[in-house]
Amino acid sequence: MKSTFFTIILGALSIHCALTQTIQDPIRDYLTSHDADRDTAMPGFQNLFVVKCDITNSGKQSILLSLNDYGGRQGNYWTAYLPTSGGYVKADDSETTLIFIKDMFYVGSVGGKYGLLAYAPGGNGGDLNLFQIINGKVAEQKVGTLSLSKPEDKKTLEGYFGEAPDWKSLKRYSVKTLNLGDLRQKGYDVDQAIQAAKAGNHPLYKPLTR
Amino acid sequence: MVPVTLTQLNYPTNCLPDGTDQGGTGSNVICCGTNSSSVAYITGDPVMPQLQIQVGNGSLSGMNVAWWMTATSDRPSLRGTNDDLRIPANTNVVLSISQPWEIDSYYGTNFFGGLCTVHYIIQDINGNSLAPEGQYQFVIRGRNPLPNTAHNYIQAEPFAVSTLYYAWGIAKHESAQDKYNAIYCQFNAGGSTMAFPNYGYPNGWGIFQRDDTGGGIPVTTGQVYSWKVNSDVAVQQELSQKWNSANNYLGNLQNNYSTQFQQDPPPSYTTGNGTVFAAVDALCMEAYNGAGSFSTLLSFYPSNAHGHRWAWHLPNAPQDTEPYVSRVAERMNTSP
Repeated sequence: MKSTFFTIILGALSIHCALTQTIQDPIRDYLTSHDADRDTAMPGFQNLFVVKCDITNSGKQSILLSLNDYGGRQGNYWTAYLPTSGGYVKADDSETTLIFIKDMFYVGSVGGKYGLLAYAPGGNGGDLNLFQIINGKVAEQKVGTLSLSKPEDKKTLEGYFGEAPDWKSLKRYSVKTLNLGDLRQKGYDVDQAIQAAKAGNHPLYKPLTR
Repeated sequence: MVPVTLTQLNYPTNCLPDGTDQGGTGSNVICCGTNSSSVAYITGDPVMPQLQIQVGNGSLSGMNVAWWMTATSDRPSLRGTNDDLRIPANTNVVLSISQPWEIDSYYGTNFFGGLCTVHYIIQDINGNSLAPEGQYQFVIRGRNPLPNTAHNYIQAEPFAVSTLYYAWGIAKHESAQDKYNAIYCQFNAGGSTMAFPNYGYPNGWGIFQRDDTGGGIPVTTGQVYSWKVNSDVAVQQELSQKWNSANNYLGNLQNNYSTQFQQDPPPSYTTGNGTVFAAVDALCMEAYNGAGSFSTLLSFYPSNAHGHRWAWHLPNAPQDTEPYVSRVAERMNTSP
């Protein structure tokens, strides 16, 4: 009984530490940490997308990371690394996926709320979704529905995101693509990361709790 | 000035007002210019226009013509130079002036379209130009397949036969132009851009609205202009990849939580109209739409009590009041 109790306490402590752990190098963390979901995209890994923007309104840049073809038409699925003293902490996205098209996003105040505004295409237009970081967790709120047949909605879209191929987000924010060669050159063992993900069996998969 | 004539030998002659090609072709002269009489059509089969062009009526002799053709997208801001091509790639085709140039023998079954120009220079038999370069402009657009044809083709795709039995529902949903009561639209079924490739803002093309957002499988010229090429890539590459990812996600959970997984296998998903999809299939469809990571769509809580370990969280599709998978199920209510 006692040993079970201590095991639970130790387990809880280790989970707490893992959640609040300061990360020095978000790219290394992204490539070496596993989740049952993102690992499914790793066999096709060719490019790492790196976006730097102030998603927390702290005056400091967060680092958002995604892989090629990890996502769908609403955009890539991103992991957000938030600035903290001495490094970064990973935003909790266990309940909400941060989704945006890397060419089409806006960071700032929208309707009095600060966050990352994303466009999710669908129907004859789509939705505007605002992603916020609240207490370290990713939260999503639909802030508009757009119809492309309405000139005023088209104007709204272009106001935030611009127009192909001159997307405003590419000028406003740092949006970089690092291929496998770039990553190897920077000292990241991408081959090991891909192999480990392919194995598909990791005791480190974080169990969801509710 | 010697007249130049461009003819499409397989011009679709039996189309519905929405551009659905019911079969039947004939010969038709494609006028020089960019108006409605200057359009050659990809048929609903689909088959590229069989084009031939000739200077004069075949009675001239003692001269040659050097021919080549260029094509570029109708929408360069969206496609850039991806759809640009020159036929033949590096040379000209020199033929006697009495002969037509059968252009399609140079592109065969490769699909393309958009703004086209046939360039020609009349030469003496030694290759000296007798006149400045002439240009003959026209456009290539397309007709849509009969719904049954598209439905049957998609269902017969290799991976669809065994696994992706709902792929046709995705195509039908993605390409429907309800305003014109048209389904399986590779090309627009009405409006000012009728017969242009069916484009959905910001990156979707064709019958499956193939989309390479975020480093996905590239949308090639063939996928923009051929519903079969579009379907092949969507089903055999993109959807099969999504299905494998969904399956691997569930497999990863099974590997790590085998006891709990065995006690509580992944639950099926029932749509608003009562259609039941296996977990892997519902996840595959939602992934095609890009609704979120698998773990947020179907969450697994291994430490919960038996019977309470799974939870679906499918969001409504954009500009919609139902999840994407429900809309696909609705389209599958009626065949084709």
